[in-house]
Amino acid sequence: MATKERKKMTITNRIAESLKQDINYGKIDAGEAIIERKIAERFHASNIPVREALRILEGEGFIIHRKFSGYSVRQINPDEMVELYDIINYLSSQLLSRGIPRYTELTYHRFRTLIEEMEKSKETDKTVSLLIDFAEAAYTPAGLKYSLELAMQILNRNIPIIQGMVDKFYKGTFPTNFQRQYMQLCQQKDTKKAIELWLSEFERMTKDFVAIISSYKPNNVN
Amino acid sequence: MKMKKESTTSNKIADSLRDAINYGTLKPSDKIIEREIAEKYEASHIPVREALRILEGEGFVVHRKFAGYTVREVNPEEMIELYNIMRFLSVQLLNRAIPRYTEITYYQLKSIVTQMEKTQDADKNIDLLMQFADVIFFPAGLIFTNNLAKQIVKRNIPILQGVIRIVAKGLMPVTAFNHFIDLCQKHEIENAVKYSSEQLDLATKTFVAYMSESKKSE
Repeated sequence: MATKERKKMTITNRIAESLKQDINYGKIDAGEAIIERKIAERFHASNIPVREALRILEGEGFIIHRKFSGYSVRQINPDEMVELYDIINYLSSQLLSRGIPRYTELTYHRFRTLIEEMEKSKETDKTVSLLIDFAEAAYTPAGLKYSLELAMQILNRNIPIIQGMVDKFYKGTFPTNFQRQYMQLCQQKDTKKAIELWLSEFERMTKDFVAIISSYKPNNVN
Repeated sequence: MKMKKESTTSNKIADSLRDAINYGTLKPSDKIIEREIAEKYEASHIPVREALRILEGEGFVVHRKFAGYTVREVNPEEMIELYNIMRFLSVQLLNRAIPRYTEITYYQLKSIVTQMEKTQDADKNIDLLMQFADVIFFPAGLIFTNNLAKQIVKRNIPILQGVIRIVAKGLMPVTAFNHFIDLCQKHEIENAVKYSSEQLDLATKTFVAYMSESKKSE
């Protein structure tokens, strides 16, 4: 089950996590400046944990630091997408090859619920979070906790991209052909084909994204 | 490079619990009772909980609803999963990083190995090992992947300590590190990557075998 273990967090971690979410969901845009004082006020924290949180985010590639101008949100470049694609590809095949044979009625029930919600959803944010929930439901039965965690981290990092795709291509109802077909293959116990389908969907999304991002010239690539 | 640790009460408690786990005073799956710790250190429950969270982050203890904190027990399956991920990530990183090594990289690597030769302190060695990993992976320029690899290592310090204690008998495998550096300097990239995977493989197998042995004898 997708009961996420709520991590107990230090103040630093809490600030870092919350800023990551803001960046992932586009509440802070690429290039936007991050002002330490404002963050400290918002979290009722001193500047020490704030600075530590910003260092974590810098290390993870979410923000960059420039002398004189301070921290700002970093734009994801196509190179990085390709890098993440290789990892998510590997993790997905590990998780699905172990997970699919363990799917139960409960797993399929969860899939069906998520698919129905996707079809009803009118908001991009909602659709994106359902897509991510779907992946989590597919990955969790493998029982590989590190692989699951890393895969979810990568997917969350890619939220802006998934959002872009949903916005650009799916005005109105989100087509759930992929999810339905995947579910069907799993129910037929065709693990191999199900994995192939999953990976090809990721490949398609990555290619589309690289095409989109290369088509507009970013003015401040780091 | 470690950030300077502030020696707050929570850090002090965490240090002392870490020692207790490392030296076997606290054994895998032992329960940790917050109230007892608070009494022992004459502290309130706030720094105690903070200390337990630090240890949870490093993989020394686990927290379960209703059951509270216990000392983490590493199982062989988890080890194999970690090994698979680490091998995949390190191959990705090294293939890109080695061709970009410069004189400075080699200088740094050699000075880390020299320090390893000089010390037998487990904590210091782990620190050096992490520094070594930092230097060999960083030139890849894959920030995200590098960070994932680091996160995994940081959250599994007890495993790292176990490997050093059991597999390497407390000493760092300096010869292996030197051989790796040598291969890189000769631009034998494929061999260097292969060699590092083999070393990782060997360490994991030995450790897993040790774990299943000690399970049997319990």
